[in-house]
Amino acid sequence: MSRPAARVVASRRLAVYLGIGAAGLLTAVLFGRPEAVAVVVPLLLLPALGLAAAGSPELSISIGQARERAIEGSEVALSVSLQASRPLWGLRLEIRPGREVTARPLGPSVSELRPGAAADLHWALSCRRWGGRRGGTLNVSAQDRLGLFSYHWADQRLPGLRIYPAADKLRRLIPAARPQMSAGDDVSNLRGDGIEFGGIRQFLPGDRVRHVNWRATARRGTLQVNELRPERNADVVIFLDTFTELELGKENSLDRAVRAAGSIAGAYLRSRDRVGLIGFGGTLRWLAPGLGERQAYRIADSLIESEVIFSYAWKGLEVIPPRTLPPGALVVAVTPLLDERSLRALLDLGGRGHDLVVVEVSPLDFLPPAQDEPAFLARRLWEMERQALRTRFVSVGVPVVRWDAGLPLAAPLLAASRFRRERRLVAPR
Amino acid sequence: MSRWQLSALAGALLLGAALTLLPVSLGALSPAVAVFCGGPALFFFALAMSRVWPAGLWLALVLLATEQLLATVLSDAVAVDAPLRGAALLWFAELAWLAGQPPGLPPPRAQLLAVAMVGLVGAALGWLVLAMASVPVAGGPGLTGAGVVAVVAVFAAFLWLNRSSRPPQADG
Repeated sequence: MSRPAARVVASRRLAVYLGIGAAGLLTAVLFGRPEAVAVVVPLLLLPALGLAAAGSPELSISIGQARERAIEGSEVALSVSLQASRPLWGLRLEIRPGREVTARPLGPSVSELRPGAAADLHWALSCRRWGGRRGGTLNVSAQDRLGLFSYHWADQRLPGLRIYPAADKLRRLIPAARPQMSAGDDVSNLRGDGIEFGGIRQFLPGDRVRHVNWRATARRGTLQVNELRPERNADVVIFLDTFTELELGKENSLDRAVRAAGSIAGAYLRSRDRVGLIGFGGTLRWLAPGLGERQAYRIADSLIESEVIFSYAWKGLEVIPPRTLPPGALVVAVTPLLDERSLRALLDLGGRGHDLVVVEVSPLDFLPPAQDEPAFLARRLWEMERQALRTRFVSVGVPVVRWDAGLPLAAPLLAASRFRRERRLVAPR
Repeated sequence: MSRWQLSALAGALLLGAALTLLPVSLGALSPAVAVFCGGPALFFFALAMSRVWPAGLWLALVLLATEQLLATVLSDAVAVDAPLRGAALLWFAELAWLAGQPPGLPPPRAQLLAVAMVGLVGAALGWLVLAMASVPVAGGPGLTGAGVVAVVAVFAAFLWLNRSSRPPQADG
């Protein structure tokens, strides 16, 4: 609860009454006509009463916000409780919730405040876009009974709000080619103790009898055993390209990339994988791979700070801390494939044998349609260049899957999984 | 605009028209002067009430007050109705201001009552001033000085309020 000091402002009405009163008194003195005084006496009496009753009222403002964290598209309840030391009329509250957040009043408004009585007002803050928002401001204004003075309590800080990107539900993820040693949900390429069936081979000394496949043994005449694949977890690093962004209307390529990165990170974390993050752009941000709910919040907090910072500086893989990219980690790059620096870095990653998948946030969705023949041809040429670029990635064993607007994120991930299975990069499922 | 605001608007319009025509009908002012002051006053009043230019109300009030002051100065006889015109001027301003408030507010009965009382008490004080002025006491530097002090005090209050009603300057 805060008790800010009020700024007292005299109304224009008061000034006009006093101005006319002064003119009437001057007329009376100059022309010797007491009637002029009689004309302006009522207009002077009201300001005199108003000035006598004027004072600075104390107002206690208590602001409560239901949550500090919210998901994009959700609503957060905000309540304001007011208590005044003297009666106030014409009460007006103005909420400025900050960028990309709108305030919707809930319940009736209050125009009068009696001394001692508390007034509770409620709003619903609609979180329109992800981001770490500083709290907005609340402006309260009221006036005295005669409306001669107005009182203002401006710029009362509202609590901050961290809005996380809305996540797509992903049922199937891209399996890692080289799972780690801890238990998880990924089926390893290796043979060992597990549940998933991996194949049949001849019995060798030391094999357990429980693994003998009696049906295959009967068919082949020699002892056959089932081979199993162990379930392991994986290290996954989300590579978010923040060098460039494209906008068309309210759509923004970085928004889509951040939502995709958040969805992918959340889905891998839920399947007990270690997930890290590299924000590769004008500024480099990274998070070493980690597990669990805490890591999910760390990643979400890091993602909502993502922004495109213009920079001419050349950056390559050497700027990324080595522990951020553990050996055998699956790197899922979310990029519009536009900036030469991120392209080089990704090709470098693929060339060095990292397990890499590129999810291309299609820049075509953010381009206006070609209006004439030259523009159409130029666009076609550009699309061919992009196709050539994708082929370069595929030639080093890196699948590039395009994510077009309107498609669920699961579609490109499924395409990437299929590519990797066909190339036998991962165990078949 | 709610019903009570419409009533306030009608009251203000009647008072404005009466203030424009009364000095002419009493013979205190020539019709030309009344048209010169009252006509624009009613025009600005209409602009303010239609929310085209809300600040026009104060110009309308200044013009109507000017007309009343001119009527008192130009009249040969003692204007006994001057306090009543003063009260009418206050009621006109207050009713018009209330009519121009944002819609949805409850009817301000207490404020209307207070303004009515202030107008009546102000008129009574005005008659007291006229009565005191009619007492055959010779004027002099003392009384004139008191008048000048009153004028200066009201002007000072006017300037102070004008200054305090200015919005604060941005830092830097």
